[in-house]
Amino acid sequence: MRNYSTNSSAERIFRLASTAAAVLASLGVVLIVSFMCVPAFKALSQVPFAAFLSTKWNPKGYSGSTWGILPFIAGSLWTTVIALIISVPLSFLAAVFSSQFMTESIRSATDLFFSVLAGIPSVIMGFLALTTIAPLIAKVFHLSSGLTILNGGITLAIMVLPTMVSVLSDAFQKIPVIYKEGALALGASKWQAAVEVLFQFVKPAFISSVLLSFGRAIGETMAVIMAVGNVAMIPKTPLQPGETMTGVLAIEMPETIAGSVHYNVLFLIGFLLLLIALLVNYLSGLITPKVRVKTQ
Amino acid sequence: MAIKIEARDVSVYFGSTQILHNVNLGIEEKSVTAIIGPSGCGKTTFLRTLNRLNDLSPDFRLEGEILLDGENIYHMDPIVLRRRVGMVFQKPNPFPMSIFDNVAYGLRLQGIKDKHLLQEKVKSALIAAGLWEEVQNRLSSNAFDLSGGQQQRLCIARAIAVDPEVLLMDEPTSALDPAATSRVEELILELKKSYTIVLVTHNMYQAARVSDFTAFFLSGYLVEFNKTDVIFTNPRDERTQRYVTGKFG
Amino acid sequence: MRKAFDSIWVLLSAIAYFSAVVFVIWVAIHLYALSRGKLSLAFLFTNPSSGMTAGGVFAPLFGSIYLALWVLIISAPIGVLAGVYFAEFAPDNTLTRLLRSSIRTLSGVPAIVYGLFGLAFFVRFMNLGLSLLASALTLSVMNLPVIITTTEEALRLVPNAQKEAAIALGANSWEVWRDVSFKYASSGIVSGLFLALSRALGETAPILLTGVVFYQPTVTLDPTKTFMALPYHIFILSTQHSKFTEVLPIAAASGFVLLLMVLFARILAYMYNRRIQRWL
Repeated sequence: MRNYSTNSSAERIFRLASTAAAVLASLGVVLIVSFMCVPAFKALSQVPFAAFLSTKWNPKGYSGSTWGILPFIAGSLWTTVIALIISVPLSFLAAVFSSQFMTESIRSATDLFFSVLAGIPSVIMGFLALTTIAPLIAKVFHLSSGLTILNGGITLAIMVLPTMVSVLSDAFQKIPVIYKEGALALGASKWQAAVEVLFQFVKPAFISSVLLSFGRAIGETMAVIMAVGNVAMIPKTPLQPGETMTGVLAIEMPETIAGSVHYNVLFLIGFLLLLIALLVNYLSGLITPKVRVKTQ
Repeated sequence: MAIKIEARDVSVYFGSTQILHNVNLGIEEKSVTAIIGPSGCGKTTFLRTLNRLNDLSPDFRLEGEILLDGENIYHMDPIVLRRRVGMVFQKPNPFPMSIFDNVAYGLRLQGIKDKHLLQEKVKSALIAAGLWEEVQNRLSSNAFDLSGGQQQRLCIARAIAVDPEVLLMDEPTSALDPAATSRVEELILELKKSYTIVLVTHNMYQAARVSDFTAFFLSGYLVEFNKTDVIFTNPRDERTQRYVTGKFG
Repeated sequence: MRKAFDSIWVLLSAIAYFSAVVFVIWVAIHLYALSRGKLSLAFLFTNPSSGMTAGGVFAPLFGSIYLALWVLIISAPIGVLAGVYFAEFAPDNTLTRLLRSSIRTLSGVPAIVYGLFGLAFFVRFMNLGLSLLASALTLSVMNLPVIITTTEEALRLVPNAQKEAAIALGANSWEVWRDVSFKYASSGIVSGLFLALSRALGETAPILLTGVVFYQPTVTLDPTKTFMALPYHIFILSTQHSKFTEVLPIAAASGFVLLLMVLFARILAYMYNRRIQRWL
């Protein structure tokens, strides 16, 4: 019998390679944050902070540039909030239906459609927003153009819906059957049982999915650009056009000179987006551990 | 008779919880030593320290020494150790491969590639495990097609194919029906002629039937260790007495 | 009374659920209809011409597929191996837990932020310039969290009993991976790779700033050059073309092609994921 492992060199390579890969991946995290930080902080030193809080964005202004980023923050918030207002109730209804009123066999077939919906590329949703939803809005509200915040909100709602539905539906399905049976035995209807009793169990998942959808909606770029009209103003109603943080980045960055103030300010907006995404993720991570404790 | 594998002042911790307390136990070679005790007394943990399988748990800590033929098992390559000390698990766990490939697996790990040599060794392992006649014509069929008892005998064949010196068996018959159980017990009596066997069992009738020595564990302590008939007819410790008579009734 | 009230809600929720299903079908049909006969095999293999008002999508299609290939080649080995590290070798201490959560957090970062990063890091700092390589690297970084997490989870599902059987026979960690873990984890890993593929094909924002261009008729295998891509093609046609009504059918047809490719990849990912659940 040989006294050594025949594949010891293979094992060493295997261990080394996987450790190296993990180090590389983790490095990516560090790199992203730092490379976003540097130009962002440069912008903070080049432009007085108060200037960002104005409503006028005109980087190539004739008599000097104004750097108000409020229109974009407003645009992002408007579209995201509208998206959530539409999608949260709808996804709740759909998730209840899916988990309580559908049989396993049909559900496994139709769930595929939700996965497909989640996979529709941004540009295609944007194309639909542009060619179908916008004209509809224009007709209904008698506008000259349907490229409005509302259009963006509706489009985003469609995009975040599938993930919310699947997270909620999964959470409902994980509840031990005895709780549903207990409610039914007391005379509740299936609907009542779901909404009044079972919902308590999925509250953390619910909040978490709303947070994640907020993050997803505020970070969405292509679909929104094609939907909202891209005018750097603060919209007073959802029927006006606007521009989002993601939008200004995608539209203006390709034309910007690297290293210029414009470039740095755009990176500042990008850094702000990164912070929002990290915050959302952190918050939803705080809530999820509580899920496991409560259903034990 | 010589001591094959020995535990000296062995204490085992998982994180801050101590599972085994100062165990001193010497297993005689070419014998069957049964390890008995109520659930949670640490018998499986003890067994798994003998082939360093507990190393896989991240917060495992061992104090004391375990010696195989006088050599500390932590001073040798764990892979070499596991070829000398084989294991059969509670629930049969054949690989999703053919019967032949299952038994040949350990041999191939050692670098044996010669087809004839492999065929010879697989055949003798299957014969020793009492499975050859039932499977000789379907060596290439999937191991999962076998019955539970056959799968366990396959796992035994797989373990002895690499010619270990010690065979650790963790409740090998608890998942089997009575007929399969007695076949495996007969097998153990045959195997002890060539291998040192350490058998964890919660079935005291089994311990009485097949083992030469018995060790009684309670809450992580080795309470008593002696020849099997002494343990069952005239135990020295009151706790052993209680456990043994409680089960026999 | 209660029953009627409830039935209305049940009906509403059924409508909510099935409208998603209907929507998906509608999208496909709608795009097909809008493309008004432009779709054909020739469409796939001819280049755009006459200012994009005629011709096909060969260059963007080729660019997207070639880009996706590069993304897989770069991100698959790193992602899978990193997933292996976290599942099999990583000690359980604060550092590794921090790494794991930061990788998980990265998956929530907006695509355009990756685009900015790609621009600052790959295009400028690493001096790759606007190129397919820079875009592929950017998309790879974007996909790493998905691949790592799917791989890690797939490996956690490997039955311990099987791994222990191999270890008890003297297998080292490479052999355990090769003979046991890989078999059980491969469906999950492949599923994650198909998801990464679907994103590499469909994402625009990361490549927008790192190398994609609107018109480049000569197709090249040189990754240091700029390239055309299908999603960007659709975007430009829809938003910046002067003769939008003329190019609308082409945009729709391109959208249909893109949709089919992305959906095909996602469906495969879905199927491979179900495969795991079958033997669980």
